[in-house]
Amino acid sequence: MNDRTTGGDASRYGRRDALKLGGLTISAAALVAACGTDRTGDDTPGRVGYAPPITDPPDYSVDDAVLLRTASSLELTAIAVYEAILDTGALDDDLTTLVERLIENHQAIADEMGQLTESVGGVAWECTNEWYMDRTITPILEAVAGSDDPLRDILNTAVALENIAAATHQTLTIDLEDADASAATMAAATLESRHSAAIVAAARGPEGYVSPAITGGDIADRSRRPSVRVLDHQSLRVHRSERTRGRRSERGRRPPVVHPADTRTELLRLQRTRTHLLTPTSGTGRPGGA
Amino acid sequence: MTPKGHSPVDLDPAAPATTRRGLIGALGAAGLAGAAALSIARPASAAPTSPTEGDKELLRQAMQLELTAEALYREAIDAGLSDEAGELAAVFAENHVSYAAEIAGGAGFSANTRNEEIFEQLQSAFATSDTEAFAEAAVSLENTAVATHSELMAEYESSSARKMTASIIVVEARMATVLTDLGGLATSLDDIFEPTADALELTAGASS
Repeated sequence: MNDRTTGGDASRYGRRDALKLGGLTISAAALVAACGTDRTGDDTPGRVGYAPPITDPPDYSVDDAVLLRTASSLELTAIAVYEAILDTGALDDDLTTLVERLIENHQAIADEMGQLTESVGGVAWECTNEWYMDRTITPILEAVAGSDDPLRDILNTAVALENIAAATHQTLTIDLEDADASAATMAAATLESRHSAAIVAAARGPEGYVSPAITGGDIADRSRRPSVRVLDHQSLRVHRSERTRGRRSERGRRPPVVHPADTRTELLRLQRTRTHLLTPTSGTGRPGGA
Repeated sequence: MTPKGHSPVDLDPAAPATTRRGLIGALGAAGLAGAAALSIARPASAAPTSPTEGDKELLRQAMQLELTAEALYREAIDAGLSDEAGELAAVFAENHVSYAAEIAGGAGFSANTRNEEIFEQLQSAFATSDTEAFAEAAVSLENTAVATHSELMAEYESSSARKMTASIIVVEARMATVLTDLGGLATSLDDIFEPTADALELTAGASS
């Protein structure tokens, strides 16, 4: 009897054995599904190999307080990023003035989101979004620190951050039940869209206005800073069917046009998993908060 | 001011318009009367998906505003606006006609009419080949459009109308920022982030 047949200790099985067992499990599950209408017991899918136990997401309803607290956390995350950017000393005076104003605006939005959170019965969130910081912001800032062109990457990061914030608020304005909160998030989406545009305009001037993709030009040059544009149909397009709308040119072609930003962002897609959402009322976001 | 034809749009300037900037400001000075008061705290989850009849009346005005903007940009192109400004005018015209088509498609009518009253009032301001003059007229138009759509957001009942409008607002805000930069119009960051444009009054005469 060799190790593979002694049973008991699964570590003695090889990958081939595991695959066989996995196939058996799947086959058995299919058989049970087909024939086991009168069977009872655990009906969860079988698992193969070693894996950490599945953790159920927190069980709470995603109400206005949750959405507003998450909105606050994103605003405060933006502030943290901009403060880190200022600390690099990479910005000239004009860009420093702009970033200081962006911080001021984001703080004002965060304050408003906090007040609205309390008005709908929640507890205002007063810190960054830890989930987003850990998984996105911190790696980005580390990459920027080691970049061959930190300023380019800083500006790209800032534009992306504003676009994400604007698109998130744009979506929240539809999802929120409270009319005041909905209006406030729409205003935030509008302001943050202006932020994004202002960053690109300040950094690139006219070259950054419109992506050449919109006018049929070449978008291959990514050496300039920042590589994003104010109007970039690829990031703003909503529906594929809109891509070729517009009047035909003299050559009979329909030019691509800039489309409304209606896309749900990465953050909002993740809303389904609740990984970045905050609980309805617990904690204040302060380090060590309950 | 009396609207032409059967348009339910009333534009009541609150003060005489003496400049291009003042003209649009005057157009929108009255704002959407009572829009805030009309804002209904309806549950988002209970909102109808498709535009209601009331939505369609407002969406028609929004569509006409978009086609008016398109026509105004084409006035500038026809007047000889060139280089970066001319390219922007062409792109922005296409954007506005696209938004009109999107609105019309969502509401179930054709995007085939503009607001003649707004067009006639702004036509001369846009009929210029001067970049700064064009930018001044256009940034005012875009910010007015943003303010108008934002006011309408509070009145729409359906989620589709709200989604569509929100998606237009954020791009028109970007367009306004670009135009401000193009014309060198900002004396401070307030001019970019806190524009003073008011919403057009699109409610008077609207039928249900």
